Amino acid sequence: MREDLTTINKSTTNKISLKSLLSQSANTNDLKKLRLQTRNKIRAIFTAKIAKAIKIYTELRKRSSAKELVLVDSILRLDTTPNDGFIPELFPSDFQCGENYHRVDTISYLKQAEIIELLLEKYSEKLDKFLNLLGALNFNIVQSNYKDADTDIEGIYQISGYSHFLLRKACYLRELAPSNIALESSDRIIDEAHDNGRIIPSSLVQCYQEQQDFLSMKKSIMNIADRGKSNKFTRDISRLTFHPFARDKHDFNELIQSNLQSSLIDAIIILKVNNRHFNLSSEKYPRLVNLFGRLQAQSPSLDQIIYPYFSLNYENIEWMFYKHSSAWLENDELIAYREVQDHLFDDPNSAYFTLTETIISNAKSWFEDVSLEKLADDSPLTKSPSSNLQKITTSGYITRSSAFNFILHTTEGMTTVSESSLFKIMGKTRDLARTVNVEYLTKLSVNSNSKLAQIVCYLLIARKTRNEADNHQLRRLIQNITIEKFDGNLVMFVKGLSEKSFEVAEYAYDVCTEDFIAKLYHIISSATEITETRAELHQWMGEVSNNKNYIDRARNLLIDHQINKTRNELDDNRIFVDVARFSEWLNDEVVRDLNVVLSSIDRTAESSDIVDPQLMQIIQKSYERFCSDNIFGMASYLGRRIRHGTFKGHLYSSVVSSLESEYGAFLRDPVIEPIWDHWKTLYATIIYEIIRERLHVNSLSKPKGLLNPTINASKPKTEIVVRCAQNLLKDFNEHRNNQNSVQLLTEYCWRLAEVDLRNINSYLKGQKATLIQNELLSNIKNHNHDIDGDYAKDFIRDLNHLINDKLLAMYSWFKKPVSISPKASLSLLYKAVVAEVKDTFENFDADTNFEDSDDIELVGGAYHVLYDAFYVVVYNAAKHGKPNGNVLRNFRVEYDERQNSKVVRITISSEIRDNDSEQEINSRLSISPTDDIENAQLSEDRSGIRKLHHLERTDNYFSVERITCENRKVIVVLTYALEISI
Amino acid sequence: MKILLVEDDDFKSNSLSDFINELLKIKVLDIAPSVVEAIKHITHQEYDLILVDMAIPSHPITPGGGAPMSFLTGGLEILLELKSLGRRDPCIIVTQYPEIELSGQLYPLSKAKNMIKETLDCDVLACIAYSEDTGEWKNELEAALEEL
Repeated sequence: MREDLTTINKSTTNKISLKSLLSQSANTNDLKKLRLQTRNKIRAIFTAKIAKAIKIYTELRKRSSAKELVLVDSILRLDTTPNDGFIPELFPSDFQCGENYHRVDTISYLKQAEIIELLLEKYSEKLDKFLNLLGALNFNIVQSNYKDADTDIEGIYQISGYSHFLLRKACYLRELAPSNIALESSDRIIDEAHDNGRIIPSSLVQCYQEQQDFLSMKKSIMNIADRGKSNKFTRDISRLTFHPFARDKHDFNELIQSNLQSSLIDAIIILKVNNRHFNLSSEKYPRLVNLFGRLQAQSPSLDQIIYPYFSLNYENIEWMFYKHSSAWLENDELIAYREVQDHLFDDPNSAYFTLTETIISNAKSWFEDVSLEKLADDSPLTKSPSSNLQKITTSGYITRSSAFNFILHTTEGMTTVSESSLFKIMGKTRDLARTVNVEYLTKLSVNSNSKLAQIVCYLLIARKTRNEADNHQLRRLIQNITIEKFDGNLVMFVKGLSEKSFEVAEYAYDVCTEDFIAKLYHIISSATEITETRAELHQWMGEVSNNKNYIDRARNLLIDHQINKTRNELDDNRIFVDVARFSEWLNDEVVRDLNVVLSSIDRTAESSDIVDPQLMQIIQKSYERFCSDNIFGMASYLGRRIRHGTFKGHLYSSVVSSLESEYGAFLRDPVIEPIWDHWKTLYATIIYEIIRERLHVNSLSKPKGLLNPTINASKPKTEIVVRCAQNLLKDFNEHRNNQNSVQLLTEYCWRLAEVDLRNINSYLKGQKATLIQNELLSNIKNHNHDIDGDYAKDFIRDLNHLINDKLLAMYSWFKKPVSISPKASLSLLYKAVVAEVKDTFENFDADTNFEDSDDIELVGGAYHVLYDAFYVVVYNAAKHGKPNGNVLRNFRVEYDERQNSKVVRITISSEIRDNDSEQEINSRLSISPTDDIENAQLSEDRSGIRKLHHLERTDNYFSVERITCENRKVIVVLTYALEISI
Repeated sequence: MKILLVEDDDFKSNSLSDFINELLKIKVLDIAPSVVEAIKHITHQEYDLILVDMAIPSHPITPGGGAPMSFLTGGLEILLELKSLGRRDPCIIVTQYPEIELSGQLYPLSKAKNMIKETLDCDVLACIAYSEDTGEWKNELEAALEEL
């Protein structure tokens, strides 16, 4: 129970005392109608403290009749002075968006329906007016008379106060009406709702927007952490947009109570929506059932509701209609539509519904006589008389997806579908991987003779389950067909799929992440092939979708590959995060709150260095999970691949065994042996200490853990958090949705993690001297024994080298994997370019040595631009420059006033040939207005400079500052604007 | 007796090989430090015993070849591959981590054998916790080998 209520019942301005209450004759009469015992209890409620009052009231609710309760509530509702906050207003003048009332124990839906039946009588006049205005509002909405509809919304508010029902209408109106039409009342209602609460209004507003993913939002809302009574209202009211159907009687009891807490109007609507399952009879509830009919009479037909959508520019009408449909929950046909979709276009394992016989029977009556084969063509899907619903469901994805799930459910998967039909269905459905019954789909797959059909089924199954066997089966099927028909080439396989269905191929592309490709052991035989294959897939996707981002990603991967070759080092990366699962967790646990926070932050905060505290908390929560989750987080890799993996074997056992095998006799020397044993004991102790205390995520139980899951632990981290917040806000304001938020959060979590990973490596570097234990070793060296002194020196030297090598090898364990998040060292980028140019000009050489400490690392996906720029400049120097002449480069980060940001400034100079004139070269380097910059990348001859300018045009961050020939050198100065300096 | 050892940690690999050699007087025939190498081996021949580590890299690490993927449940791939080949080569999981992840859940080694059967329909003789500091694993391995 909340004891600190400060916003209770603002509408109740006439606070009156018990004495004055009883002095009013109407109330005295009400009181008199009650039994003496009940009257006494009401008196007790007035005088008792809140906990006691609630206890008495709960008992009254349990034992009193509906009629008595209506009287009790009406008396208690008048006086909030002593025990304010457990009898909600029926027609509140404030929007109910939070836990504003003490929640009492629920009573049966039947008793609540009786209470509402009595209230309908009491407030019949008000409800008549409400219905009349609702009819006018609905008419004006479907006629697109938005201004008039807005006036009606104000009218309804004046008559019946706030309700979630009215908020849905207001949000719907705002979404449909052109943004230049002022809707004062609707906007005011939406704003006030936002002022009064967070999750309830923001989830509704965002659900109605085009880009928001309905199923993700639904999952997130339906899985709001159950904090019992303290958030029951929020959980119940926010779900109205996504799943207004009660799972069972108990759920219905609670749902009515929450809706009655919101308003009487909401309680009526939720009763109507669920009456399909609970059958309130007109004999027992005549007014209520009559009102259901009158609500229907005030609602336009589905044809009329859908009609305006045909002139709106929605990419998929049914998708938007479904997302908006909670605005029409007074309509019987709409409720029937929602019943089908809400239960069949959702995860059948969801805890909040079961596919009961009633639901399936209702769905059967609603669907046409559908079969999987029929789903592949454009046959009508529903028996609904609405021709517009027929139209949008035939061309839409939702009903077809539900029908697919309905057929699987009713046949338990014991049905068949041809390969071609299955491919067609996949092009006309969506989110099946989230809504399908895995058991039944597995049966469908087994029944299929087509390997490709089986692959399609398993593409869905493997994505839905986490079962390794399902994933393995999918990979086995893909590998078999790729080897048999596509020469073992995965990209050819995906291209082959695209000839049958682009949607299936696109889905396969999504599934074929680096992680997945790496597990195709029969066709991917090396780590290099993982990168190359993924790059080729990006390239293909970029070409077929005409989306440059994919091409850039492919280019980045190939450059990474080139850099790896240039480095020619062993890359034994051991720290990972399972990004797919982390994203899933973010979607389930973070995105909902992120939506709320981002939509409430002022736009000016985009450039502020002060992070909103709630946004900070979300970033903190994300990073903590990124580090600490023992299944997908860094902690799991730290534990399984390092701490419980090879750390001790690598640093202790292999060092000791190697030395003992090489210097066995020396170490068995009676004087040396005890010193060596002592050294080993201390060495093991140090290593154990590192394993036991340091190689952990920092926590109360592991205070020395090197991986610090807090975001404000250091200045570099704080700076990253500021950038993260700014980018999240910028992206949200630009797109008005959070589609990119998960990707952004993941990227910034990696950047934060890099700070910690650097700390781990610094710590390990710092342990070198401790591990070597020079003092003890000097005892060996200084000891006067019979063995040659050089032998002791060799031993100590080898021991030093061994430990040093082991530590060096371990540095690569604690790095951010390049494949997960693009990052490149500028010096390595340059070195890789020089190596590539040398493939063409064997005699060309340029100094590429660099110090790690002077290096600049570029994080993010744009370094391919610099690679391409380097290539142009270095290639030209190799081709046209002075043979064996100097090619020098300089990289530095500086503040650029013109661009108002930090930039990396790159200067590359190369000597010109002795017989070239500076004037002639300058004329070749200059660009005239008639030069074809746009097609520079297409031509080969003398196009280098144009290519640089083309890069400048295509990337706003890249700038060609200067290209001149002076003092017998070509000097190229380029800048790249940085988001953050590293 | 043909034995395959799937293990990326040199020291643990040597330790297991030495123990097998000592106990059974046989040398481990093949050692696979990555999943792809293990799968190549089992594709080419049957084994009388396969000792499987859990957390192993996907591919061999080669200079300039980039990083292979680090698979925390890479050992399960061997079991699943054997199942898809219709083979029943006896497998023993020898891991340094006290739990095994199956379908997104962590199970203690004491329950892992049954859970592997339940969730993946794969058979293993035993799931043994390896530790350099104790010889307990040797007893467990010896007991498991007696079932062969």
